[in-house]
Amino acid sequence: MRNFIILLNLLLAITACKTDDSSAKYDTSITLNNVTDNIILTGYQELANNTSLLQGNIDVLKSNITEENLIIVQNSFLSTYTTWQKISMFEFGPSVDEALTSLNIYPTNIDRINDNILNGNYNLESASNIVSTGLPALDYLLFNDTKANILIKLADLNYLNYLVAVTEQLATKSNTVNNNWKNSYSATFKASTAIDAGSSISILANAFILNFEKNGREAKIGIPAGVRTLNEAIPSNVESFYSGNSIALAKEQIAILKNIYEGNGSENYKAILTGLGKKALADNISSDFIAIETSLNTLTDPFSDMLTADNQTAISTYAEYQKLLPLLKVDMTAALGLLITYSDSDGD
Amino acid sequence: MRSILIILLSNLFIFANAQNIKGKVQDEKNKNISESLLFIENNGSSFYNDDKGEFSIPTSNFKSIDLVIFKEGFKEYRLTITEQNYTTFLNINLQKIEQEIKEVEVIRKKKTLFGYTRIKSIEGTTIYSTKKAEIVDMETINANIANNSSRQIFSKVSGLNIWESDCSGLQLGIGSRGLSPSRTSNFNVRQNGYDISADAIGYPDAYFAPPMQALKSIEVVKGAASLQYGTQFGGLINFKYKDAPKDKKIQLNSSLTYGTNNYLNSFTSLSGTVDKLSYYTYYQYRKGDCWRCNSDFQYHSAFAKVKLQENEKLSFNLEYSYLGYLAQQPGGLTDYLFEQDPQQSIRDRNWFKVFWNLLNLKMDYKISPKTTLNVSLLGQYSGRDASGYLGKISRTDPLTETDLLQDTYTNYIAEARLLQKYNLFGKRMVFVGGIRYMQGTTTKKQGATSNDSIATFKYSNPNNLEGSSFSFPNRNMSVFTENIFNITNNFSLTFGARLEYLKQKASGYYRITNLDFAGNVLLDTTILETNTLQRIFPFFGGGASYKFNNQLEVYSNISQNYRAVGYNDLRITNPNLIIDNNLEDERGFNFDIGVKGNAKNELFFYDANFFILKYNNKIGTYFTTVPDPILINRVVRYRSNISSAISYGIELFAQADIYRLLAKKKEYAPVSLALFANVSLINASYLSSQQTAFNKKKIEDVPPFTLRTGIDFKWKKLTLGAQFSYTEKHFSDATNTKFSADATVGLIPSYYTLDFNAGYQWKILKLQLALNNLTNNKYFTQRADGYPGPGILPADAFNANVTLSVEL
Repeated sequence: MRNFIILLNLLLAITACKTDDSSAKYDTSITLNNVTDNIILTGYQELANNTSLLQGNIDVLKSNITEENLIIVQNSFLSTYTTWQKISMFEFGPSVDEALTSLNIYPTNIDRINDNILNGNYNLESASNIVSTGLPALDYLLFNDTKANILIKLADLNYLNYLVAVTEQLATKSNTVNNNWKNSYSATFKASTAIDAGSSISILANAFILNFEKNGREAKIGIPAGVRTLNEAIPSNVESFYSGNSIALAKEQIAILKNIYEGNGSENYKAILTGLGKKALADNISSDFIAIETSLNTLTDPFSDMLTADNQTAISTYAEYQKLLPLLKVDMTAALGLLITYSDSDGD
Repeated sequence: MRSILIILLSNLFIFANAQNIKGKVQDEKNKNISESLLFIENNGSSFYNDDKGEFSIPTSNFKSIDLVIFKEGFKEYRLTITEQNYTTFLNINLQKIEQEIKEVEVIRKKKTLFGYTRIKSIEGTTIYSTKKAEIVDMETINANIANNSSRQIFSKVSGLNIWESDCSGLQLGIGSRGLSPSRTSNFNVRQNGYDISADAIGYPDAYFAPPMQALKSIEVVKGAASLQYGTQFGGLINFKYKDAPKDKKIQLNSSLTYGTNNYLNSFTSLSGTVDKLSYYTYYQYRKGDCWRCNSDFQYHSAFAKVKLQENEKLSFNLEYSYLGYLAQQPGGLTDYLFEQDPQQSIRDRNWFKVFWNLLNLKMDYKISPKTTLNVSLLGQYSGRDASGYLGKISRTDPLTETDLLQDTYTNYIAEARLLQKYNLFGKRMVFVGGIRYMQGTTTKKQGATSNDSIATFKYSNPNNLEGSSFSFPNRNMSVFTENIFNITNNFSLTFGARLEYLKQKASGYYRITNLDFAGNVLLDTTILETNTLQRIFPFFGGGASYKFNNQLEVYSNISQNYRAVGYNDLRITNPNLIIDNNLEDERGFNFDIGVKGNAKNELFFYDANFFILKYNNKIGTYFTTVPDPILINRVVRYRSNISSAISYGIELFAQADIYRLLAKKKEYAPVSLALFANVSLINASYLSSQQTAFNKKKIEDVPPFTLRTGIDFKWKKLTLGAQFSYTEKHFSDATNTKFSADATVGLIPSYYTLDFNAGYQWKILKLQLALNNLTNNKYFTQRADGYPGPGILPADAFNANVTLSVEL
């Protein structure tokens, strides 16, 4: 009996020694620290600043509805939309808690916006208002007509109040997410250094590839160019349809994704890949990013106007995005031992 | 401890009483027979003779004593001792019997102690020799059977991971040796020898398990069951219903259980034997609110068995089983919500409905003492509906239309087995051979249903489902043989082979809806899809057993096995999914080496073994690219045989009747006090995978250490039992995630439970009390990535029930 117990203890000891989990093959903390400090925190801070500024400018406009003040608001909006591209990919943690990314769902629903304006009674937090709030709603409210006519519409108090409410929602959420990142989540995020499906490096890679695939390739280029509608373009589906700034925003998104991939030379995914002996793959991804940038230069704003005349150039750009996708979604994740955890996009 | 045992040894057969019946047991050649069982029918007491064959039985004040003497391999010997021959020294000669297989009922009972029975090497037409086989004896078990508590019922079966996802064991979730417990789908699940899962080949999920109150025993054969039963690495689980009493025309058993959370269980059975006919039938109704919110259920099950014993050789058996239940499902929780309050539910629109119909006709024909034929025909019509919102649990229910998943399972199975004993080189050999034919159709539909909070189980657009609609016709034929070769009296080998032919088809449609970024429909297409998979393959297995004596046996076996491509693997519901043209069944083998035996006249049992389960080509998906005419290459999810994995470990079981081992007058004592321990240590990991995130990781849902231990006490008509279960922390996904925001994957922390059972029989009445999770621990056994969660599925906190039974 005693021997039996000794044997049992011995066996337990053996397994106890082995409880140590998957040791990562590469160091993720440098990447996590770099992305958090240099891209995420600065991006959210900039968004919080820009949305507050936009809010302030709208207050000025509200008290004095002039063309000069409208132009200030419009420009302030455009720079907010540009800043948005810097954080749109971080669709996890505080951003999900606040449903921040639902504030850039387009095309916006004009009927719903006008209904809300007409009723003057709305709950912007309700799920049905996702398509009538956020940046695309502001894009509509500020750019749906000539400046002169917008000024006339702003004279309607309901219209003006809706503009204020939508802006306030955007500013509040941006601010909350910024604070949550700064005060707590950045530490949590940096501390999760394993490479399992719930780890930060995996969450970041998934968010990165999903943003490239769904927000970039599909929403910004593919869907308006007609790849999901049997080659029939849908110009009204471009991002920032009313202000006509789509390609500029698309370039901004690619720039930030590229930055996350490249890092400062010694960090981030490219450095990890190179370190794992996948230099060819790492370089191919870099050159495909450049190819996308080059191809985006062949597209012009207003993108919707261009698509009405010619969607083939845009389809060629879509093909450049498509060339990069497998390198990220198949080869990079395989090399890094990461799992794609989001579900497949439609009709790929 | 050691010194006590030595004292025990020397004292074993010394009786102090002067007024004893004395005698000696010998065989026909006057050779002494030791350790034969002497059983006094008058008072049910039993004891053994010593190693010189002699016995000395203390007497009591009976006018006459009916003594029966049993010994394995010998005919039973009966004699009546009256006052006249009281003092005579009895010389008893036992007669050898040819068939060692037939064991005496009393001996079987003797070997059973609080639910644990040692299995025989052959039962009916099944060979258990050389295998890791265990029997749960439901008639002596000390467990909460009124509530189907699987952690208590299977507590003495080694190496199991048990999921507790509902409050009344509606679904059985047990897995072994590194295999998932999900709906017991890694076991070949049967009752009275025939299949009861949804579809043994393509969808082996056990939505149906009989109520434990109706059972006589449960057989569990690990891995090596593959040759005789086919598919599943886990092995065989066979539920055996109670038999009709032979001496009564009608017997009524009725029990009523009340428990916490408005639990009610009413179980009534009628059984009896009238001439050649015997019958057993029951009806059970269970309902309860369950511990978690939004989880009430209503459950009906019924069973009828009629047996016609035409003559000693031939019998026919007709059985019908019905099950129907409706349960609300509370959904999962995130880690945060679980910590906050595991009882809460944030889903109130999830419902689950099951119906099951099984009709079986069996013929048993003992053609000669050496030849037995068994034919079984089965018809099944069953189904299940799941309705609800299965979006991430970290999101609030949008209260829009919910999903409805409807399945039906129609199967016809015929199986025939023949057992033939024969002599070769002067030794007894055994041949078992059989054939199996199965044909059936499973249907699976997925679409939208209304947004009501009470499920209607009706599709919004039945003719054009939003998801998919598939039909899966299937055929399976197999031939097998397994043989026992007795090389010497102590050493035997088994060898067997099985040939499987499988043909599965998937045909149906799925809808693709192209949406824009805001969710507006751009394009809606229906795609028709057909896929057929046909193959034939053999596999093999063998084993060896060496019996040092009646008390010690060393056994080993190695058996190949497979898990067929499932219907969900054959079905495409997304244009981005491509199935490998060469998709194969998952193959592997199971190896055991172990030692089992007993000591001190079976007051101490043990079974300890080492196992390896090798899993060669697990099916899964990974991303890859395929050439595309327009886009050069496109990314697809590719389903193929992608991973190989191995589990190995140690399973230990031991049980000792401490009281009888220590007590001086143990043979007379109406007391049993038994301790048991059931330990398993498993190391299970992926060896390689196309999905690099799984490489070298631990296999999901495999606790590296589990311990189940307990104490059972019996004094006359009173039984008491306490049981402790401990399961060590483990991962729930193949990338070994520790934490994820949506809770679908992550750690399952270590947990333990403590349960207590008590029973008291008074004439025809029996009262039972079950106290479960006495320490009121908050824990969970599983995380679901979709249905019935998603997320953490909390197990029940403290709960209790009382059962009053009557037998007439």
